[in-house]
Amino acid sequence: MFDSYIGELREIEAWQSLVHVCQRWRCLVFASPYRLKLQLVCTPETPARYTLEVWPVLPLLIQGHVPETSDVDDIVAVLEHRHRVCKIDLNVPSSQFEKVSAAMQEPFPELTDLSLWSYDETASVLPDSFLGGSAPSLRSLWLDGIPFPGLPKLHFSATLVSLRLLTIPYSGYISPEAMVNCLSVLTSLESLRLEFQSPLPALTWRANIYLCR
Amino acid sequence: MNVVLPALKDFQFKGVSEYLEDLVACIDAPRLNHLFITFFNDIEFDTPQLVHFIGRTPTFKAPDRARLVFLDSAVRVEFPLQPSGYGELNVGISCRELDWQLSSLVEFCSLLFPSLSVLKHLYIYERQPSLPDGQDDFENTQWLDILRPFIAVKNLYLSEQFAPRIAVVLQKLVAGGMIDVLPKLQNIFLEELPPSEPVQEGIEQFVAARGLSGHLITVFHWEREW
Repeated sequence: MFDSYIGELREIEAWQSLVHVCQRWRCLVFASPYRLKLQLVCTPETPARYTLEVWPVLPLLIQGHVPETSDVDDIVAVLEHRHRVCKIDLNVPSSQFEKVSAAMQEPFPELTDLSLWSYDETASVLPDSFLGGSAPSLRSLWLDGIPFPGLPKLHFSATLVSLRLLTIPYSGYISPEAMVNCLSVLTSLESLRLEFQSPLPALTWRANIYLCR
Repeated sequence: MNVVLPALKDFQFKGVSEYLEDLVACIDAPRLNHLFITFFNDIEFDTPQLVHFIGRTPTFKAPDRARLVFLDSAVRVEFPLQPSGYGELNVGISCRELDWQLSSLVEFCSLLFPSLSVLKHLYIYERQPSLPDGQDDFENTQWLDILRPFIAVKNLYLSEQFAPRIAVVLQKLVAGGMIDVLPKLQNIFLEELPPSEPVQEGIEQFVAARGLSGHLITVFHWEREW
């Protein structure tokens, strides 16, 4: 019966209807969090600062689109549980991006999938200390419109399968040599996308090459 | 020594050719079967490292067809690796105007010459609403330069919008007595059949001239599937 609630076609939080049936079912469900793949989804609309403690300690997924007019306080509150966060898929306006970035300066040991999008002007540069400098469980990294020139310094494990750097602005330039070094440890990488926002002006290009050597 | 990416199947790049040259000079991807490249428009392309990279990637060794595809904002050379199924080598250049697109193609086709010289099928079509009217001698010369590397092509597929332009070029071949362009051509597939009068006239002259030199060419209808 419970297995039918963990199929691929089910919503991630479909299991929540089971725990509302009765006390016994609630105990049964919470006794098998891994087998039932229990996860909590947090969106920008989730009042996480107040509701997260209602639930047992389960893996957290953060996803959604942050409107220009909203704040990211609740997202930041979820990011404080960095040992539980396993997936992040966030579309953030550049005005709010710095707060999200600041909340991600420590390692996230369980994080397997990270997608960050900036949907208006260029977001602020991610510092070298992003994710505490290491991403031991990451399988997929997708940055769109977000400069991260320090990416080659990030310690990936060999588990990374997909790397997508899209709409790379000038401020996110990574030299080909540094990119090759970064790729050299990614023995499981199956998909690679590198897409620059626009051509670097020739002088900037040469200057960057010079600076990177 | 090159870095080997043993699991890489899909590589997509959009940027300047110099960057990609520096990158692919240092990597090998033996399992790659989808390479999708878009260059920003540039005055000239010099991509020997890309040509070497393609040449040393096993999947890309023997395509038998190419598509020259004209889009709103780019022109692309596509090499599907199987008639149906996953796998493609696809190189494009961002530019909007047809004359820029043709200039880019001329340069690119000359760079890719070794791989183009073995292709049996060539498709020319658009994925945009309409092409500009009018066609001058410069455009005709560009088309000749584009077609020249396709020395093994037997089947030529032309969309309704490109058939008139290529028909004019084929007439020029006859008038100039040129036999080095599409020398192995056997079949022409037209999306519009019966063709318009100018297309019919141009192709009839070309077919007749090739027939006189012992090369029979047949015209068929082409039903585009994509």
